[in-house]
Formats: sequence, C-alpha cells, structure tokens
Amino acid sequence: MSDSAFDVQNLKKVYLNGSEALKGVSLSVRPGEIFGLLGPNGAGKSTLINTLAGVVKKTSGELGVFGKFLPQDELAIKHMVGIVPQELSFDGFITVREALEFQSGYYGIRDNRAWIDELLKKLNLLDKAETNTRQLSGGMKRRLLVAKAMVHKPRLLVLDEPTAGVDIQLVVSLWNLVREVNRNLGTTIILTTHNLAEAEAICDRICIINHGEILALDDTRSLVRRLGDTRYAQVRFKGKVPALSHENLKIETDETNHSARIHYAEGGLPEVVGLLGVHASGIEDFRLKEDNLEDVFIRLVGAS
Amino acid sequence: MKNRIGCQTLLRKEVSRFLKVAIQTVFSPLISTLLYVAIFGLPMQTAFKEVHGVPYLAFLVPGLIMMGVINNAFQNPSSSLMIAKYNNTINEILMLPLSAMEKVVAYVGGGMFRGLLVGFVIWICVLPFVHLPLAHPFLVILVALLVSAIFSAFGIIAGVWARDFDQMAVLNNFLLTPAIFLGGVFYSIHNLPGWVSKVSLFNPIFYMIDGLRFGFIGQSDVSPVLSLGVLFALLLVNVFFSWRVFVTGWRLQQ
Repeated sequence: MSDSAFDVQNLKKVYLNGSEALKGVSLSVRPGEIFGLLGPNGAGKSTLINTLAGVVKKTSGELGVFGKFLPQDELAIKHMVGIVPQELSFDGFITVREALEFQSGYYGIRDNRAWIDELLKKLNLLDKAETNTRQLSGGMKRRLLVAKAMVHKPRLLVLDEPTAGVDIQLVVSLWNLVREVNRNLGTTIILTTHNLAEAEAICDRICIINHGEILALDDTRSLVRRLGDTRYAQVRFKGKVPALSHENLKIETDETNHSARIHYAEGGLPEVVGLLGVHASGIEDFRLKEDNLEDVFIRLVGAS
Repeated sequence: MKNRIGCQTLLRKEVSRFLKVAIQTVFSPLISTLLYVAIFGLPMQTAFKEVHGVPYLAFLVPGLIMMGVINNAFQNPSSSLMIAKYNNTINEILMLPLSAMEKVVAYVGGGMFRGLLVGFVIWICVLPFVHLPLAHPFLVILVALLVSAIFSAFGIIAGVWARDFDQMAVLNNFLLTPAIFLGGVFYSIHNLPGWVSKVSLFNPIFYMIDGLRFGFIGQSDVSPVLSLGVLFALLLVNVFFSWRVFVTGWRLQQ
C-alpha cells in the first residue's frame, strides 16, 4: 500500500545463529496516526525497527515508508524517518547542542538553531545545551536521543521504549511533545513501550507481537473491547464466599481471597445486583471493572 | 554527491573530534618524531655522514614525516569507528542519510586532514634543526595527499574489521608498525643485503617513503614514477574496499 506511512509485507528476519526474529510480519501504519507496537522482550519489535533503521538486513519481504521501499530507496527512507533507539548511546566528544547541530547537518540542514532551541526547551534540556553528553544522566541522554530523532522534523518518528529511565514529569512532557508534532506537523508515530497504560492512553492503534508474529492488530479501543473481558463485578466478602450461581452469569470464586468475579453481558447488571442482594450484609467491597490493554496483552502473550 | 551538506558535516565532526584532543592526536606524534631525530638521527649522522648525497638527518626526516602521516591518517577513522563501537553509536553511522561513498569521503577526508596536519607540523618543527631541501614541492604534496588517503581508507576497513581494541593493536603492532619501520624510514634499501633489499620492494610503504623522500631531497631508491604508480593503485584498492564495507554493511549490519 503506497499510501501507508509504514508498510511491511511478509517481512522475515533470520539471524546468522538461526533464530527467527520475524516470521513473515505484515502490517501497515496510516499517515498521521500514533501506532503502538507492543510485545515482551525478544518479541521482534526492535528487529522490525532496526530493519527500518538499516541496522538489520531483512531476510525477505517488503518494507516501505511513504511509498519508498528498501533497499532501493534506502536514503530517501532515512530522510523521512527519525528513530529513538532503545539503547542509550552518546558521543563523549561533543556537547548537547553540537550533537543536535551535527545531526541537523547530516540531514542537509545548515541553520536549525530555532528548532533545536525549541526541542531543547520542550525536552527540558535547554540548561544542558553546552554540557558534554558524557556528563548527562540516563534520563537526559534518553531525551537527547529523542531530540536527535526529531531534529529534521521526520514524517515518521519511531520511539523504541523512549520513557525507560525517564522520570514521570518528563514522561508527561515527552508525550505532550509527541502529541504536538503528531497534531501540528502531521508526524506519524510508531511507539514501543512496556508501559501499557501509556500505550493505551496515547496510541490510535495497537499491534501486539510475540515470537516474531502478530497476535493482534486493531484500534486500541476495539482491541480491548474485542479481546478483553469487558464487564465484570469484582466482589470481596467479609468471610467465606457464599454459594453463587446464575444461569446467565459466569462466576469465578477465589476462596483464598474471599472474592468472586461475576462476568455479565450488556444489560446484565440487574441480574448481578439481584444475585448479590441476598448476600449484601456479607459484602466487604464491590467494584465494577473492565479489562484494559494490560489484561488483553497478558492474556494474548501468555497464550502464544 | 546528493547529500553534500551531510557529507561535509560528518567530515567536520571527524576533524573536530581529533582537534578536541590535539595534545594526544597532533602533539604526541610531534614529540615522538623529535625524539627519533634526537635519539636515532644525531648519533647516526656521525656514523653515516651522507645518504644519497645529503646529510643523514635530511635523509631521515622525510621518512619520519611519512610515518606521522601514515599513523595519523590511519588512526583517525579507525579509532573513530572503534570508539563508536564502544559508545554504542555505531548504529548511528548506519542510520545516517549518507550514501556509502559519502561516508567514505567524510572519513577519508577527516583522516587526510589529520595525517597532513601532523606531517606539516613535524616538517615545520624540524626545519630549525635540519637543513631539509624541498626539491619537488608538488610531488611532496601529491605523495602526502595520496598516502593520507590510502591509509584513511585502510583505517575505515580496519576500524570496521576490529572487534575490539586488542584486534586493532594486533593490526598496529604486527602489521603497520613493522611495515613502516622496514619501509626505509631509517635507511636506504641500497644499504641492505641483496635479498633483504628485494623483499623490501614488496612493502608498499617503501614506495611512500621513497616517493616523499624524492620530493624533498631529489634522490630516491626507485623511480618516483613507479612510486606514484603503486600509490595510485593502492588508493583505488583501498577506496574500493572501504566503499564496499559501507555498501555491504560488512561486520556492521546484523
């Protein structure tokens, strides 16, 4: 699909040691969306990103960005893409500002001071602009990598676990910046993270990958709705769990924790209330819940 | 060249990297060379008197200049790539929006700048102590340019090949340094026994030193045309292989 921001068809990667990191992955990221690529360690996320970066050579399949494909359009793709790598890396010979000026130059930009200053400000690095990169903390180095990836205003920004080791206040500022470039510059974002709440909050679509294969790919809400257990009541009793049964409700009890989980369909809440009404005096806590992305993720990955 | 600014930027970075540690990269080789002049040159001056019709020191200095050019042109890209491996920035080099040839031009340019700067500084600093003629200045410049380019390109190959600093040390200590020392820095091959003299002709560094020496003193062991021919051939071979290193991602891409 040439109108995709990122298009992968039947992508395979087998490393020299024989390990199959990608087993024919196919996915397409729409222009302007924030796309979450989730999976446990070793799932194949970084291999996919590193193939896009040119660090890993694909074994077979197609990989394209905005209608340009590897390997023939490699340089055109590199100009359109900014990647925040997972591993912290730094050149100890230069300052933060020099790192960003050099990075701008690589993309053919001579004078990028205004945008560099804006990035430094938004990523809370302005007071470290003249500091040698060697002297930065881990979180600052991570933010510098984000700034470097954004310095040429890429059409596709890939963030490989960008919030690892970054404190919560800066995580918020980072997501604000990501949303801002997505909204104002139309930058397409691909994000990998182990923080699933973060992914659920920010991503338009989610792809869950494990063992080099796609387990699920859908709009974030549809995914949770489709694969999650959407409605259940979590009840904890003061003592022993009473005998509970209802023909329309699925009930799981946990005697150790004196609790029960009552699953119900849409419109089935009165049946739950009716079932529990006779035991009301014995109830210590009652909550209505629904699965989130984390629950879906654990279920899918656990089963794969 | 499609990304001229990008290539210039990488070249500027390679130059600024070694200038930031100029004591280590420029002045250390200068001190070493001055020590060679003092320790080897002065005593041998009395022993040899003249070689190729010039005082021994005038014969020696072009060899020492060439040694400085070779070592530093080689070390700039090789150490830059090795440090990138240790700093985990080697992947950034793969991610750069530069073609393989643009990367070669930038790394070779950086190495040439360092090699030529060191060679020039050595030349300027020994002038007060040694009467060194300059018989063919354009040949001096041409040979210095060729040799610095050859060893910068070789530095790229070595920097990518070496897995760690140990392997780089093996290359330096067991190949480069012996080849330089046996290439006629300190002596003319005419002074060597017959078979050793013939073996020296298979050492490419001999032609570099001999060609530069001809540029300075107007005398050489072999024809400068032959030396230039060898240098142009080596340049083509090294640039070709360093370009292939980036094209194929040899030892860089997984």
